[in-house]
Amino acid sequence: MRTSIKNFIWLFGVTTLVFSCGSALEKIRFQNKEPVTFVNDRKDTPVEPEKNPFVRYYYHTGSYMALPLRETLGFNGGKRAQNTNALDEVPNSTWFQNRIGVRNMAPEEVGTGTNIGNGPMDHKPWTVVSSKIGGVSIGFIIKDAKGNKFLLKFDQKNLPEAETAADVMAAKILWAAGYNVADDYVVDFTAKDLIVAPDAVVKPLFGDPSPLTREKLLESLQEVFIKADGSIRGLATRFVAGKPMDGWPRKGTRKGDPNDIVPHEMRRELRGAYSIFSWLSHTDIKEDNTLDVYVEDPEDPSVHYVEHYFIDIGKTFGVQEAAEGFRFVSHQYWFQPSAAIRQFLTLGFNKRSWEDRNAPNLTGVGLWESKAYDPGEWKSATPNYLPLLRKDKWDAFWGAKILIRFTRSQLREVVKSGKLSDPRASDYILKTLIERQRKTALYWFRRVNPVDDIKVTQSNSLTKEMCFQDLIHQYKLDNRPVTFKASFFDYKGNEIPFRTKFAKRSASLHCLKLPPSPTDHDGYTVVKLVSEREFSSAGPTLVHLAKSPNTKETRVIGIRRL
Amino acid sequence: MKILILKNVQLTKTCFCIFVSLWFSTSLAFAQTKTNTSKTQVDSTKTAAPGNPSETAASTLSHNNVKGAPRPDNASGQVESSRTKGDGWRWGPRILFFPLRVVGEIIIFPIRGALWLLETQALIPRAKSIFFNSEGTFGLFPTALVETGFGLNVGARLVIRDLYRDTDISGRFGFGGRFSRILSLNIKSKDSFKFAELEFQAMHEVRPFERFFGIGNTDEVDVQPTTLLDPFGEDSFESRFKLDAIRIFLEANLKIEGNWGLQYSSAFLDRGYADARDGIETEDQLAENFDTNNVTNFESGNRSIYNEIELSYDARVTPSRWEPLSTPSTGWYAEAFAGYMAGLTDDSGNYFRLGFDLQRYIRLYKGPRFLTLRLLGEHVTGDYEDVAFTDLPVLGGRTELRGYAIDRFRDRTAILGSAEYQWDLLNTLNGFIFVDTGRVYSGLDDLGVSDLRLGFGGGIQAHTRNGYLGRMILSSSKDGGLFFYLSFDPIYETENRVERR
Repeated sequence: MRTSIKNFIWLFGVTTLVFSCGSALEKIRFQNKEPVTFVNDRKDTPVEPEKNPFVRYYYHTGSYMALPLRETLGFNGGKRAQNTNALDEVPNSTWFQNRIGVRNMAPEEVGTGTNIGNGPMDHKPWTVVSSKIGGVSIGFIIKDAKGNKFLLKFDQKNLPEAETAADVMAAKILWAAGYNVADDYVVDFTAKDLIVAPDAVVKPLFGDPSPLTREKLLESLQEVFIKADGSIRGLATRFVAGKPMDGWPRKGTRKGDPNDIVPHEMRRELRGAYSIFSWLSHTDIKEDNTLDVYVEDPEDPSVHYVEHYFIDIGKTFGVQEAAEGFRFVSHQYWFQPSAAIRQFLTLGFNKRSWEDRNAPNLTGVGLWESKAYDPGEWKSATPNYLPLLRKDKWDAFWGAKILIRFTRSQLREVVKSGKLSDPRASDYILKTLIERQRKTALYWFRRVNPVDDIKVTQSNSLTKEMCFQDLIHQYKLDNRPVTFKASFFDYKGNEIPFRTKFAKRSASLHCLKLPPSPTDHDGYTVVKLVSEREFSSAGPTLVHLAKSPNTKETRVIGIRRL
Repeated sequence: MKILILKNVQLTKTCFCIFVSLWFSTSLAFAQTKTNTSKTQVDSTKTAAPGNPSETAASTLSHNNVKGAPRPDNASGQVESSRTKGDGWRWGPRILFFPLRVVGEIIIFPIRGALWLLETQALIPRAKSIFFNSEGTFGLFPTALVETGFGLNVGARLVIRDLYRDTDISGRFGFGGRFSRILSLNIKSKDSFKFAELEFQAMHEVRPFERFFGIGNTDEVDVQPTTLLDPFGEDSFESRFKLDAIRIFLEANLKIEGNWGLQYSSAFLDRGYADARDGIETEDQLAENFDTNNVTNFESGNRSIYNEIELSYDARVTPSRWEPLSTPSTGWYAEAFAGYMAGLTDDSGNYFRLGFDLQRYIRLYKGPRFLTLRLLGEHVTGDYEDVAFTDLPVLGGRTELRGYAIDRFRDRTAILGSAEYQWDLLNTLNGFIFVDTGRVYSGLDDLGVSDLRLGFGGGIQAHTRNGYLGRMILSSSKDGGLFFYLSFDPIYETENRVERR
């Protein structure tokens, strides 16, 4: 019995090893076509898909009980994302649109994001329609003088400027990264700018609504941070066009949505958000902070489908830690039995990664720091969001490639949009943002071969070269040398004997000579590219090449990172 | 080491070429199915510009211009569909562990189901609307409490908030569990007065399972004595009795600036004693084991007036904003009190009760990790025949001299020294280990360090950010025995004397 268990473990382990490290050339081959750049997930959905109500305690107990049970005993880990294209990228869809890196974005564009002018600031007074529903913080639904609807929220009294700034900054970054986000504005107003609608109501989470009077409104505003001049800083979020539904399920797909085919936990853009969320420390990610909107097609209003947004991202930039007073957030789950047991058994002599975390005491700055930040160990507040729990190094690498594209000037504009009153706070946030950005990118670039922007060039009729960027050197993350090695295979996986030469064309651009193309399968060639550098555990990258049936030129048709 | 690993990898590669071949041949049918699927993908793949997806295309995306594009699950462009698509080998372990999963689901279901109902059916607001008025200022609601070792207590609680200015009234009655009967009325002024917070309480309670081991620092015998024991004798034995008490008291907490506190309490106490309630074996009854003539007031009961003044200094603080306020980790707590018991019947004597409690919190590191040192003493001036046996200072139980049974030792003087190391496990949990030492004495003249009792143990404390919730304590002592307690009383908060017994 013992022997058979040992055999099982041995077989299981080694099979996994072989299949994951790709010691033999794996069997995957690509179609000789251009990669897919966008998908069709805008098929008409005549009936609004089923609701996915967020039942708070049920959901969170699920995170600690049902989810781990089902994930562990369902043996669901280790599956790669399912919606990537041949280049291991995410095609544009109702979930994600590639922006930064695929086109030039001026710093001002990144800093503006989805904003249209100054939002409701240009159109006062504002009419308060009702209180906001759900959540624990104070908020109102308002209409500006032009009739645009906004959700108005505030900073915590003891944490002025932080949450409103964080929300706007994170929204700008997520938008530029490619996600759909709500249109947020930092606003300033006084109580005089607010008019209570005659039919305004307070909407409790449970129970019947009651009339919202001016007295009740003013009483509520006493709970938020009010500046010395009596003005109030808030966050106005424009209502998304379309019919807001609720958050997308963390697992599976939404019932009744014919376009929602890939289970959410298998979507690259949701799993790969891990590295971006860890960069920004979006610890408050949960179903309730996502939003599906049932929209009309811009060209044909008779056609409807669902678009997907991240919302309520104000607990980023260390705000959740500061707001709740828990230094461990982002390093440890709210409730993590393993951490408690370790701490109990060591009588507290075990020093935890978060214990020395600190940030300067500046208005608008949460527990935002880079020193103790570990991009691979970052955690959301609760282990609730399955796409992040299912993420693998390739997903995180994809996210890291996106986040490292933000330049200092773009990030400066992002921080500027937070409208912090203390310039030292803005400087500190920017500095830390860049430190974390570089730390995150380097972490994942050491775990997945950091070659990108792979192209085939033909210098003359006989010589073909494959050129690529080494991301670690391109972004000057580490200047230690790297050695590349390449081997070549035909369609059937037989090695093509060829001694190639590498040429360094710039600090990060490397090229290698390709062997003559095989005669079968349109000259299908697989280049196994390995980079060897210190402190790296990255596997090889398999670059699949084939001749275009039309131009007969060799091009990249697929990339597999191992 | 590196070479060894490399060799193993080489060996692994060789072996697994064979394994992979076998695996592929046995799953040929499966692979063929996948290939067929891939062919469909080839046909439906729409080509676009090379490289990364461009936003130019995305920015104009609409129902019409994505019509010919592949569906979201067909974008990979792979000829042979990815092995990660199918679940393959996963079905084996899934089936193997299915029974375990079912068990887990069965355990989880009622918990999650209850929470789902609670929230979707808004059970708490609904209950509130049944038991409270719409303003939430008047409520009458049922209570149920299960206490370890005592069973179920059910009853009801009445709450009237903000009756006059800021005054609250609450009432409670309950049956079962630790109390066979409890009835109380409480009026609290809260912030009604600038100078003090006043509290009036009238309470009738019957505790049917109180413990008596004799008087003095004596060793316990396990075998029931054949003759009645002298409570002041050499041996002690665990016995039970019933306490029937009426307490009416007024308490005034004077508001003093800074860390100082001054409390005045005045109480009328009427207590009677009898055999413990049914369910306790006859041989465990106090009267069956001790000569009750020497157990002051056991036969006659006791009626008295008690007045006490207490001065306290509380400079315990949580020095870090990242740590819960409920677990202060540095500072001092000191308290001294003096009270006078005036008997109202011939059998009730007059005497003073004096005491102190000194606590020092020493912060060792962040977390917090801290040490609490405590010295506590209590003394009654009356002779044994003046002091009701339940009014003698006691040691043992969940808070004072842990590692011994509740009320294990009682005498005219009690001294306790304690050291506890506490450290955080999670934001709502702390671990702790402790050593308690002390003993009771027949009087101040007997004070000394001989025959000290020593208890030790540890446990877990639960708290919120602002308040204490409870403790699980596992303790023992140099005299043996193992005690497990669930304590909902803060260990280092001293209980008011007039509310104690």
